[in-house]
Amino acid sequence: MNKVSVLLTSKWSWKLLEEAERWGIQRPEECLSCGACVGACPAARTSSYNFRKIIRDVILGNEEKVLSSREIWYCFYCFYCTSKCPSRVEIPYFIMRLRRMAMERGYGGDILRILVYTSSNLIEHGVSVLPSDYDRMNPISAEENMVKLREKLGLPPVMRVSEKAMEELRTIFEETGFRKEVEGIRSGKWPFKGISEKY
Amino acid sequence: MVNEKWLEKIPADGPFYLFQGCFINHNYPGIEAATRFILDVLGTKYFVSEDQSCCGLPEFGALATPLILTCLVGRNIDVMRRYASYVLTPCNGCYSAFHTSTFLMKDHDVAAKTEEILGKLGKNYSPMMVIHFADFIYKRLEDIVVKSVKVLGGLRMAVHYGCHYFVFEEEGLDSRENPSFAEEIIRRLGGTPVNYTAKDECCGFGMIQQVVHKNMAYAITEEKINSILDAGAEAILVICPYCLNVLDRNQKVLRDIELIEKAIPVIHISQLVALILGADTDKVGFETHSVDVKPFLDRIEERKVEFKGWSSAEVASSQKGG
Repeated sequence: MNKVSVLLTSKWSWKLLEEAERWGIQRPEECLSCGACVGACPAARTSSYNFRKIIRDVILGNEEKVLSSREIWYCFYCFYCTSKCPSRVEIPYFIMRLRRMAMERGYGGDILRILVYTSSNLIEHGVSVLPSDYDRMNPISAEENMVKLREKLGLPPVMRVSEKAMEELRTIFEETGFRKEVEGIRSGKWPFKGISEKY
Repeated sequence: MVNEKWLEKIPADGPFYLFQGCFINHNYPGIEAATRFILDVLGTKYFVSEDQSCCGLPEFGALATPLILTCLVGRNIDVMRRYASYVLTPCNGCYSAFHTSTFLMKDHDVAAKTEEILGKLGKNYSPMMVIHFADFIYKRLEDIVVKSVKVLGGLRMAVHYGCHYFVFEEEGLDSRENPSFAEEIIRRLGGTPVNYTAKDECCGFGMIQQVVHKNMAYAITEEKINSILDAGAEAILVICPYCLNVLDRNQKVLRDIELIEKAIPVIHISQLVALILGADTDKVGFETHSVDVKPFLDRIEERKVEFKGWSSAEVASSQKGG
């Protein structure tokens, strides 16, 4: 459906597709629109997410619609679609690339703000998950219990990252722009625009 | 079908670098203790280091930023290579972080920037062979059977492998189509593997969905658990701490709203094998599980007859006969 209908409407747009393909992803325009991915997809069963509709809009160049949609944040990143796809389109990587592009254009802030805690942990401690994250409603008792349990199991109280390693990590956080991004998301200064379901 | 090529590549006796995963160490430390216990019993040398950081996958999953993943992986490999030539990890997340990074390095811009940043630290990017701990258990299964002091008394177990074990086709012991190596492990340890319809589906974690869109995660976990219960399984075996977390903890909510009829314990493969090798039941960290594991523990029996294990020739001939 995709290839034929796109050719018929002569609205093929390479711009978004080429930008989205930058991670060396197996060509998404090879999509035959057979529906195997949607049949396998856990997100399609539980939401309005449908990759065929998204790829169609990418090919037609409907940038704002795709990038401001909530649907691109519904992917489970489980690769069940890829395992069923006759063209082996690596859909989850492609969706990740679209999310990245959406972020860069200021979309997705309300979701990123929920997710940013692992990144803050990484910047502060060099690890993404802390003992207190076991129960984020009761972080203090969660941490106490976890440290006690680790000692009982004969393990050091926490997974420590050495100061030498933290030094190197800080260089990486600066050079990649990661620290700036995380701070922007945490403080709400990132110029975020709203997203909504589009499909 | 087990991927013999991959199996051959796995060194039976290390030495290994045991990758420290923050979700295991800080939320399911029992998996870490069990993994170390198994390596000690098998006499396999392994190293850990405080110079190692998180794998970087949670950050890639949340912010979709490739550079943080490739740089962290590159730096960690540089640390690990000082200790050993092979990496072991009992977490699908850490496991897939390395392979995802290799994939992202196909982008020339990402690769150039990664090399530039690592260069400032006096390092460069070179991939390393990363082995899932479940693969290692399969590799040493004969030794584990010989050294075992307990046996699963016919316990009916369903295996959930977890999506990210299968993402990289040429790596790993099995493909997503019909994986069987963990079933083989259960059988050899005295249990009964159970097949179920939703075997190759996601646990519900969905990388971010368990945190962001909880209703979607619960719906998928419900399908999975009900499929497992319908098949008559008494416990679930996982090879990933995230799958353990989701399948175990979501059951409480699903039971409260009566979407599943009964709770079923979820066990990580390291915990199972450690118990079989004689670890104390309070040394594999069941404290952090939400579903009661007693029905599972009750089915672990002492090995009554001294058992030397079958030779592979005997196994082959019994399979032919049966």
